[in-house]
Parts: sequence; structure tokens; C-alpha cells
Amino acid sequence: MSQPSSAPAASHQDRPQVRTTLDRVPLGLLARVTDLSLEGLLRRRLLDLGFVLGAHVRPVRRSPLGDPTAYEVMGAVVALRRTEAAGIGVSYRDS
Amino acid sequence: MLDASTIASPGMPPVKPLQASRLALSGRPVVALAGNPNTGKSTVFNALTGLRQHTGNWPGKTVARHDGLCVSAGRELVLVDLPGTYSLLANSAEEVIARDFICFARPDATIVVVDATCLRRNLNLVLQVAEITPRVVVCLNLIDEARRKGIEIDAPALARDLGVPVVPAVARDGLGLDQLVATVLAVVDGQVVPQPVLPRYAHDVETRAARIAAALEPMLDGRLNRRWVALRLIEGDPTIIQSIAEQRIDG
Repeated sequence: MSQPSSAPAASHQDRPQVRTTLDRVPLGLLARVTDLSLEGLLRRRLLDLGFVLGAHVRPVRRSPLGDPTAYEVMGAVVALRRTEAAGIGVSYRDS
Repeated sequence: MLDASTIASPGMPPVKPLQASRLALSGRPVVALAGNPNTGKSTVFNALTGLRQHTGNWPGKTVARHDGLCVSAGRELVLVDLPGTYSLLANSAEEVIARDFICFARPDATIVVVDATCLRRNLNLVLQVAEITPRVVVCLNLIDEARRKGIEIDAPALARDLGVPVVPAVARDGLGLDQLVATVLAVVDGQVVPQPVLPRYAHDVETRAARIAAALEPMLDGRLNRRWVALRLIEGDPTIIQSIAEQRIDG
């Protein structure tokens, strides 16, 4: 479940920055793409879908078995497999 | 009456895609309609073609594509509705169809319908189309929805930055479509010559692309944008080589 954040913006900035891969971001938290470790067609595909450096990504829904997960990116919702999301480096602020 | 359906009607000799835009359609300009999924592309298509819409097949391709006739101010345009895609870099059958049409059928102009509520996502396709052909017109659709979300887009500034005409529209209500057709006709007639601002890649990529493009020139014979083909070859895209090979066999 996504938790609406009630904390003011100032304390948000104080939270520790977590660097991980997109598959490990908790549902509802906003992450930022920092690097893509994938190559070839899959890399091209993810770039075309909006997973470019600096893009904001939010996991919005996870399927019952935990894979795939739906991500909101650049105004659209895109479902990725865990192996694909694991190739996308992100950072987010822990809540 | 002769219309665009003649291209695919039985008994007619197959039309070579390379010639489709000029020979097969009895002189009518051909305008491709590209766009991301869910941008209102089909709404634009239906509004511009009215009831003259029908499905057609592009020779050599089994997947249906929609062609329609757009009549405006005594002029007739053949409008070709391409599959909705995020990209032209051939990750899927739809992208191969859209790309091959723009590349090989060489439409007289290409409209890219973009969603004003998430412009950034849509500009990727605009740049990809502009890398293949300069004759691009952007239809900035859904400006009413964007406005409701508090998004106001400066169309003239966008046109300046992209180097191509940008026409704001609300296709569902028919707003902006007259201007869109007028702009497309101006591009078709050469009264407006878009000069897209294209992405520049890293120095070594550009140097190699230029070298490969020079080597490709005698092979492509002006039929394809050689810089674009060179970039695809550097990227290692196997589908473009396959499509070129098919064109050579067909042609």
C-alpha cells in the first residue's frame, strides 16, 4: 500500500538517500533514475519507455506473485519484470 | 472513383513501397500520421478523413494499416495512420511498420501527434521521426486536458526549439485541425520548409556515423537518409538491414 507522506518537505530532505535498483523501491515512493546497467535492445526499449537518466519513477502496483511491477514514469504506467527493473539504478529518500 | 483503396485491390500489380507515395496514389500527396499510443492519433485520423476511412494493406506487410482520404479546400491528401509507438527503433512489429513506412514509402509529410499532458515522453518520437525526414508537423493534441492540469505549452517556442511547425489542437472537438491541414499542405507544397534541430551525439559517434554515411551513399542512392541508417548500423539494429534487403528484393 502506498503511504501518503504527511511529513513536511524540510524533514523529507533530512531522510537518508538510498541508492539501489528499481526493483527494490517500496511501492508508492518516488525514485530517480541514476544509471542503466542494461545493454542492447533492452536498454533501448527502456529508454524509449521513459527510463532515462534523471527521470522520476514510482512503483504503483505489484502483481500478486511480486512480479511484474507497474511503474509510473513520465506520465504513463509501464509494467516491468523484476530482472528488467534490477538493471535500472535509482536513488530515493527513505521514509 | 479512384481512391487510395486501389493500392491494395486485387488485380492491381503490387505497388513497390518505395514508389507508393508518388506513383500509386495518382499524384495525391501522402501524409503519415505517427504518435505514441493514447495521444488521440486515431481521433485526428477520423476527424480528418471522415467517412472516407477504410483499412488497407501496405504491400509486403501483413499487418493492417489504415489509409484514408482527407479533402480540404479542394485538395486531397492520402492520410496513413501508423501504429501507435513510443519509438521508431524497432523493438516491436508495430515499430518496424511505422519506421519502414516513413523510411521506404517516403511520405510527403509526417504528422506526429503528441499528448500535451505529457509532452516530454512524446518528444522522443518527434526527434526520431525528424532524424529520418525533415518534413515533420507536430500536432500538439489534448491542450484542453493539459490546461485542466495547469499545463500551458508555448507552441511557438516549442516550434522554434524543434525547428518544425507545431499546431495546438483538441482533436475531439475538431479544434486546430484546419490549421493542421493548412500547415501540412504548406509543408507538402514546400512553402514551409521545416529544419529540425536534431540530436548531436558524442564526437566519436558523429565521426564514425559520417564515415559510414559516406560509404553508404552509393548503395542507398538517395533513397534513404544515410546518416540515419549509419546511426542504426552503429547501434547494431538488425531489423534495418533486413528491411533494406527486403526493399531491394521487392524493388
